[in-house]
Amino acid sequence: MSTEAEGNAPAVETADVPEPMIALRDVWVRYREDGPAALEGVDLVVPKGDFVFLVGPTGAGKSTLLRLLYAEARPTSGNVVVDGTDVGTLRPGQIPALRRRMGIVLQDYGLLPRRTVWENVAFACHVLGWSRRDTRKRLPIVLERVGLMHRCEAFPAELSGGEQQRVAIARALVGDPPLLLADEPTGSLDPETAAGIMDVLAGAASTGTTVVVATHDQLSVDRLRRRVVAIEGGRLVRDTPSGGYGAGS
Amino acid sequence: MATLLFLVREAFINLRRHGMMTAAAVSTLAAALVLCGAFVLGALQVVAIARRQVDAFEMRVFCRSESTDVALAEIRSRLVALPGVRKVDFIPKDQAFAEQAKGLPIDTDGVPNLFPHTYVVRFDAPDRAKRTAEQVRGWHGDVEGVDVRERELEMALRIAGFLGRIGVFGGGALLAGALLVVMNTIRLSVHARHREIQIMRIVGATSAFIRLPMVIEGILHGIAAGAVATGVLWATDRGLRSLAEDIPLLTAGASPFDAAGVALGLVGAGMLVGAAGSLLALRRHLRIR
Repeated sequence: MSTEAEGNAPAVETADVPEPMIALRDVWVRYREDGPAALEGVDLVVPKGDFVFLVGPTGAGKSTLLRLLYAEARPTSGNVVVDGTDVGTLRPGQIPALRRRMGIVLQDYGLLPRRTVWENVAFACHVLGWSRRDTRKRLPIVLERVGLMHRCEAFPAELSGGEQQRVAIARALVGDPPLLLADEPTGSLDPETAAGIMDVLAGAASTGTTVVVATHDQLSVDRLRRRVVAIEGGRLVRDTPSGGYGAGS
Repeated sequence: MATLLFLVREAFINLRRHGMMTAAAVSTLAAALVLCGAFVLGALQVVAIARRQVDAFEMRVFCRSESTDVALAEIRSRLVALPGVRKVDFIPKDQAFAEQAKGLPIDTDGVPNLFPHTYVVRFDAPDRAKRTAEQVRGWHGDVEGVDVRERELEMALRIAGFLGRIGVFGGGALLAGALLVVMNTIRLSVHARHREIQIMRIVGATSAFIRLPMVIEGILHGIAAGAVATGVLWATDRGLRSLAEDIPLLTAGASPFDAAGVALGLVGAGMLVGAAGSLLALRRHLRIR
């Protein structure tokens, strides 16, 4: 399944993967026509229920890859298919519906600053079109899951970084999405808090959610021993089914 | 319906929690509405006063003293039949003499009455007076002369027209300037929330879902600003009237302050500007690349 890439042409095995949640085929991304490629011919298949770490140095293309998946960026060429939807051909009006089928966690938490913890998570429920009764029923469950029910009346500014990130994860998970994308979710957290956040994400994967995490968090990647996809200079250079952060780990 | 209620609730929460931005938007919009409202009301008063002067304009047709009742009746019916004539009043020579004699400090017994019989003609459209006067002058016979203050009328008409044009162009320019300031304030307040908008998009909110609470906020800003502006103008009107009540020349021709009409106009304009401003400001942030 895994291959260690050498040189410019990483060999990524994509055959015999049933029901992929994510399938990228020869994907190129250039933000400017004459500029350098942010992604160069990336092939990647992520089966449903998989947990994948995207690792690589800053500017390698990890965030671009994630942005492709939630249609914040468009492929210059190639195909990006998420849960059966060809994301590259979506019309702008179809993008919100795609995003409602996934949870997205950002490094800077992305919380509404003038909304309480409860309101931040409830906002996603309203976007999903849930009734107030359903929202009231579901919210305590998901807030308990991230250990923040007792802070539900607090505003983001009153929370620590780790707590804010857990609110963001709760918001991402509240609709039980089949796919969870996290872009550097522990980037600004201490190792202990980061480990807690990664455990919450791993917990989501254990319930069948496909989880893709772009990270620099070497400790967590080495500890969890999940699939690791390494990107460098816009190319996919390593895909290890149960590896560590570094090439030799 | 539940979603609509949620969005309206969102708008009220935003108003409460973005206190400074709400205050900035409402005060700017209110100031603009006061400025435009004061200009429009002032212009309307001046135009109305000028118009009243023009409407009060009259033409006097003098008939021979020896004209018979039949001849006078004939002149009256011809005058009434003229286009643009609103009212024709008759002042017999005896009445004219008696009225003049009342003001004289001498005994007028034995003084010969040289006053002619007079018709006072008022018009629907005073700008026709000059033409009508020329026509009546050509009647000869029992009509001795026609008096119309053409130059004064022309002047009054010119002033009324000029004030009307100033009202339209000046008011338009003022409104455009005020709109720019208001739009800029709304744009700034929306820009301050661009991260919020981005977050809403990330969780899958549609453009309408993001837009609606902010447009409702804009409308609520407009209602508040319109109410404030109406209050300020009403208070100003009261103050000015109490200052000018001893000068009948100023107050006699002034129309009363139509509070309901002013409130309707200002609140309506405020709502429109608030909603349009929010929509335009949001357009940029909701553009999907």
